[in-house]
Amino acid sequence: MSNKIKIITVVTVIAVFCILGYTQIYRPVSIQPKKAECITWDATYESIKGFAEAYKSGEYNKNTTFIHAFDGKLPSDNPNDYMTVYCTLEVKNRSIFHMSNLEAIVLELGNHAGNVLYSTSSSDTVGGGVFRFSEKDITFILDVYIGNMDETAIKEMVKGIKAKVMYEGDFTGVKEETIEFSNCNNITIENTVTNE
Amino acid sequence: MNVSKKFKVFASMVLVGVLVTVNAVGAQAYDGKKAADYAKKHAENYNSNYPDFDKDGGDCTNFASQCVFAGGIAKDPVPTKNIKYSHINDIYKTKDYWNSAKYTRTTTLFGWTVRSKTGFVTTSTWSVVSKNDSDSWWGFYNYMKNEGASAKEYSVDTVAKLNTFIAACDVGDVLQIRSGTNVNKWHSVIVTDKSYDYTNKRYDMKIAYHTSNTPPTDFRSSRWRAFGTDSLWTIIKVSKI
Repeated sequence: MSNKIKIITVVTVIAVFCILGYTQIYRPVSIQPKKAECITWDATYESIKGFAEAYKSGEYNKNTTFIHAFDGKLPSDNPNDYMTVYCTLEVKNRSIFHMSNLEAIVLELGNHAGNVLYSTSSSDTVGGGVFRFSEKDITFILDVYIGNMDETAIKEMVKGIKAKVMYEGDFTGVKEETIEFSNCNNITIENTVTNE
Repeated sequence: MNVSKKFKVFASMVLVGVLVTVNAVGAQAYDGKKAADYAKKHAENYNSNYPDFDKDGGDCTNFASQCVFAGGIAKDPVPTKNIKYSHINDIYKTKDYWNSAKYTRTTTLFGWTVRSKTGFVTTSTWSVVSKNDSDSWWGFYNYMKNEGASAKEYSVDTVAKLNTFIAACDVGDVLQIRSGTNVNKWHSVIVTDKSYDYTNKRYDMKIAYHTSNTPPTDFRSSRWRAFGTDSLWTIIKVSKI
C-alpha cells in the first residue's frame, strides 16, 4: 500500500470518528428557533387573572413557572393589554440514542424585559423526549403586558429572548444549549379577543 | 280501545322495557368519580403495577387507561398464546385487546427451562393516543369508539366555545388533543373535577395527566392557555359493550 493510500485511509477514519463523535456525543441534538406566535386571545387574560391568585397564595409550580416582572398585581384590567407568546423550537435528534427530559426555559430577556410578567417552561404543558433520528417541536410560553408596546417593540422583545434547552441521554448524560431568538424570522402577532 | 289494541300497546311497552334492560346490562357501567379518584391518587405517584412510559414516548394514555379501568371498564387481556418474547416490555400492536399486565413466557426442552422472560405487555389500545393514518393497529381512541364510547371534537379558541366545551365534559371523561394543523391526536388527559360557578354562571373543571405529571389543575385559568389557541379537544365518554 502506497503512502498516499495510507494517508487517505487514516484521514478518512479520523474524519468519520470526528463526525460520529460530534453528532452522537458532543452535539447529538440540533435545535433551532422555529416560530414565535404572539397572541392576545381570551385565554390570555383568564390565565393571567388565575395566575395572580395562584401567585398570591404561592400555589403554582415553581419548577416550571418563572416570575420576571410580576408582583401579583395586574397592570391593567383591559384584556387587550396582555399577550401570550408561544416560542417554539424545532429539535432534531441526529443520534442513535433516545433523548429524554427535553425542556426549554427562558434564560435571558433583552429589551422590554420589564414587560414580561412570567414564563413557563416547555415541560409545564407536556414533557417527554425525542426519539433517535426524529424531530419534535417544543414550546415555552411568556405572558406579557403590552399596554405600552407597539408591534415593533413586541418583535424586539421576541428577538431578545435567549432560551436554555436541556436534554438527557443514557450515554451522553445531561446536556444544555443556549438558543437565541434573534435569528427567528417567523414572528406573528394577532389579537382575537372576543371580550365576552 | 279494543282488546287487540290494548295488547299491542302492552306488548310494545314490554319490548321497550326489555331492550332498555338488555342495553343497561350489556354495557359496562362506568363510574367517572372512581376514575377521577384514581387520577388524583396517581397523577404524581405512579402505580408500580403498571409500566412507566415517561421516557419512552410519554405516559399520558397509559395513565388515562388506568383511570378508565379504575372507573369500572374491564380489561380485555391478550391471550397468553399470542405473547412472543418480543412483546414483553414492549407495545403489543392490536385492534382486539385492551390491557396492560405482566406476562411470563418460558421455553422448555425435555422439561428443562432453557429461556424465560417476565415483563409488562401493554396493548397499543391501552397506551397509544390514537392510530395514525398509516397504522394498521388501533390506539385508545379507536378502540374505545369501537366499543361504544361517544366522541365529539371541540374548538376552544374563545370564551364562549370554552364554556360550551366545559359544560359538555363530565368527571371521568378522557379528553384527547390534536393541533388544528394535524389530524393526529397527540395527548390524553382525564377530567377530575367539575363545578358550577354561580357568580359567573358557567362551569369550571380540573384535569390531570401524566407527562408532564399534572395533578388536578384548573382548566380555564391554567391549561387552556398552555395548550394553545389552535388545539382541538375530543371528549371521549367511555362505555364498553
